Amino acid sequence: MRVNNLNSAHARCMGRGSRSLWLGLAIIMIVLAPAARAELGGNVSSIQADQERMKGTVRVTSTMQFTVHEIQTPNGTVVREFVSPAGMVFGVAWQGPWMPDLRQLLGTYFEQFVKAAQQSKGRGRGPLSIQENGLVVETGGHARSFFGRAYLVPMMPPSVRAEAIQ
Amino acid sequence: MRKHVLVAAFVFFTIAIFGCGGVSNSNSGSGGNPIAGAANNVLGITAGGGPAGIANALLASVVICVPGSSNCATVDGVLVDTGSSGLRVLSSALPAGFALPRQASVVNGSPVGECFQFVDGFTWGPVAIADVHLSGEQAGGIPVQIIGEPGFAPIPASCTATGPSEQTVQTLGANGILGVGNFLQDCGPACALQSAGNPGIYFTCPNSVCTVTPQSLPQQVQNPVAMFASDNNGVIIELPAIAATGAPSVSGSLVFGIGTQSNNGLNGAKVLKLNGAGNFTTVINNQSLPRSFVDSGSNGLFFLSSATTGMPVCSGNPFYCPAATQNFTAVNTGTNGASTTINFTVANANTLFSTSGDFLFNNLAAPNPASSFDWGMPFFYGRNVFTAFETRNTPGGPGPYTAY
Repeated sequence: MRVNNLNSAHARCMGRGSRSLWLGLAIIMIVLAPAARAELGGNVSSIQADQERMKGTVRVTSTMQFTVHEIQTPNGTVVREFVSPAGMVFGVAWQGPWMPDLRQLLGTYFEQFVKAAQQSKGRGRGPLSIQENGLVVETGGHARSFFGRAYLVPMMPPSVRAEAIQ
Repeated sequence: MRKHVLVAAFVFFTIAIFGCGGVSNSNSGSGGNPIAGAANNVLGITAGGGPAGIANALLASVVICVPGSSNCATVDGVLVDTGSSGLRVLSSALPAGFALPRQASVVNGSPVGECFQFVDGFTWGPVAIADVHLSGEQAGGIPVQIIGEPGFAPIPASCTATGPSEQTVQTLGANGILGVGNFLQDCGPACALQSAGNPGIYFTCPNSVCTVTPQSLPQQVQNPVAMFASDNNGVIIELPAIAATGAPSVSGSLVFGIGTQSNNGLNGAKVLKLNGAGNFTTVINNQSLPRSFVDSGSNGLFFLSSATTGMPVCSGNPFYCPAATQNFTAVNTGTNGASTTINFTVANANTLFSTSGDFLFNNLAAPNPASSFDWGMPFFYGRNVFTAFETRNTPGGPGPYTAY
């Protein structure tokens, strides 16, 4: 958690002229961060951490363009992590009766998502659609039937459409 | 803010008028749908901007009391939501000094906290016990949630991990949520589990530190209408049609019971039975969307994507902004095979929002990330929409179903 929070603080402070300091700290954080940190934008080895935290079972399927690691959690919600040929998690999707641990799934992008979602609240109640600096997070459903997805546009393999992330 | 205050005043005023009687048994909405007049099983509702000034908010006034007493508080601007079950009220919307007894955990006697999940965020706060009065009907001594109560235990990390918080009028979009969806409780059997299958909605909070706890069905936050002594098998939302250009607000009726009185018959409405998750199937543009539903708590129509509809999303808000209004046809089919065809339009949201004072739009739509059509508030204008509760019998068979 500490790593995530500092990284998000880094993102917020970039515009305040302390770029080099935070960049240096970020490099230190990356060096110190455990390799198996699962999240959007992380590498494929990090998925094991998601599985352990969610106490789920994993099924792996591959296509020409990406590999899908599907985690079946005990409470019925299914999480899918989309891994590029380069081994990076470029998208996550969920579907089931309960919301997943989005802090775990979105990793360093979680705070950005929450902040953007709070700012978009003026539009009223209903599904969220966040698109900010290459991060896309979309939610849908109702009580006891949730779904959604998040992906990083710059990390999407060529020819993969957003609709594939489900 | 001034606009919001005026809207709130208007909501209260119209509800006050509606509740005074003298309305004939059945008015006709401009769309031709009959709208029930005042009765003990009819609560006046208003669609408008509500206390947060948002588009397409469906609002009611709710009276909650300390159980068995005349110590009551009236909370207006409470969102009527068929997408969830249970009454939740912002602590900040209650009068100073008005305190409901908290529910004590049967596990350890500590206060019970709840992290309830909505599609756009969570509400956190203690479970309290209240008598809930809706028009002439009462649910006595039922669990409700108080949102954002100062001094209550801090929000658990597993709760904040589910999304943004909805602890204020602006982030909740209303002063509370009156959940009258298809389910009898807000969580159901999963929250009663002691195993890892428990989704972690309910907590016990001794010493301000909260841990997940199993919560039996009767202890869970209850759909208040299902707890009435009668007229407890479902609800009808009845709203008049509005113009395609928008409207500031309209009045309608929330009717309790289906086929239990002379004012709540199905009247030929088509019954679409729902699956265990509360969904039916919508087919649109040759795509089958099996997780579709009708939800008064969603303020638009949410379906497909820019790529599949050809409609761009607005800059500055998440709704569709087609250059010209688009026509669509969709077919909804229940698990019982019954189906209906719906024609609707989608207008440019920026054009709709440009009319100052208008909060209601029957052609406001946005993308949906999965195989789902979320039929929100635009669907309700000019229709009487029935929500039948799970396991309860009605003239249309047992719930859960949606009918219109």
